[in-house]
Amino acid sequence: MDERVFYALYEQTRGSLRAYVAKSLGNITHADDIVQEVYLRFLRLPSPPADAREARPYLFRMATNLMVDHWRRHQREIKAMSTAEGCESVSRDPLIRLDLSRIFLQLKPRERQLMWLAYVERSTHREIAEVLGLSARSIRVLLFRVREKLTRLLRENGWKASHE
Amino acid sequence: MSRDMKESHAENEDVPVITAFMKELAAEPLGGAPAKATFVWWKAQLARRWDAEHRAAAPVTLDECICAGLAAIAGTGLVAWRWATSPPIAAPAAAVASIAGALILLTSAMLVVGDVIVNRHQVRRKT
Repeated sequence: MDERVFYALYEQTRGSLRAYVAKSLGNITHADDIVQEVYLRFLRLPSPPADAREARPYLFRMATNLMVDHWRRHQREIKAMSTAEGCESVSRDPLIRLDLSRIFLQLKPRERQLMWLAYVERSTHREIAEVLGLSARSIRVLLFRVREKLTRLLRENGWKASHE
Repeated sequence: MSRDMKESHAENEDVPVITAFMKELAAEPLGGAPAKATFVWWKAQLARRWDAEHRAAAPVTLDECICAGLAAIAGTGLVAWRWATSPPIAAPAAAVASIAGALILLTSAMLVVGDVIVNRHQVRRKT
């Protein structure tokens, strides 16, 4: 791949990939490390696609796999954090600033990825299935369940859209 | 909105709320500074070069290990052969000399193997 082509591809895809990883992980530092690793791996492919449209599924798939590796490595740490900080306390304490990311982080990692791909990236069920390594049929059911869960979380946290 | 999304949205009444939430979430600033494209590019070039060097050196590493292994086997065989063939009392000096020679050969082979392993490990750690 040519240097200039990579720069253009990077500029086109970096923003959405970074947002996907950052919101799914809930940590911008780790997200930046993962995004960088994704592009390094992408450039090490024998013939990486130069077109952003073609490259996007590769990049998101690689990012998803790296996030799974990250969660596996830090599973204990994450468990300790979620029990120590107590996600529920966020919903019950009205003095704590209502933070969208905090609500979103109450979903499971896979659920966050699913919601981000469906609602922000506007990916089809087939594309989501490809990125997450799931069957396309299961996406519909999974999305339905996650939506229900998120609706419940939003109600519990008293969230209302800013335009309402 | 994709057909998939429309179909699955029909099953849930709270879709507008979720859509609004996801929209606001996506609009939140991320903070931090992403890596520059030039930095990622050159890092990838270095990684690629390292891969190429590693691939090129792989047969040499294998050869070194095979040579050291063969030397170790030959040394051990020589010691065993001298031990079996040399008479217990007759010509002790010759027997001792050949056994000592075999032991030197064996030790040298072990040192070469050890050196190769240590060097490879250090190079890997540095990179």
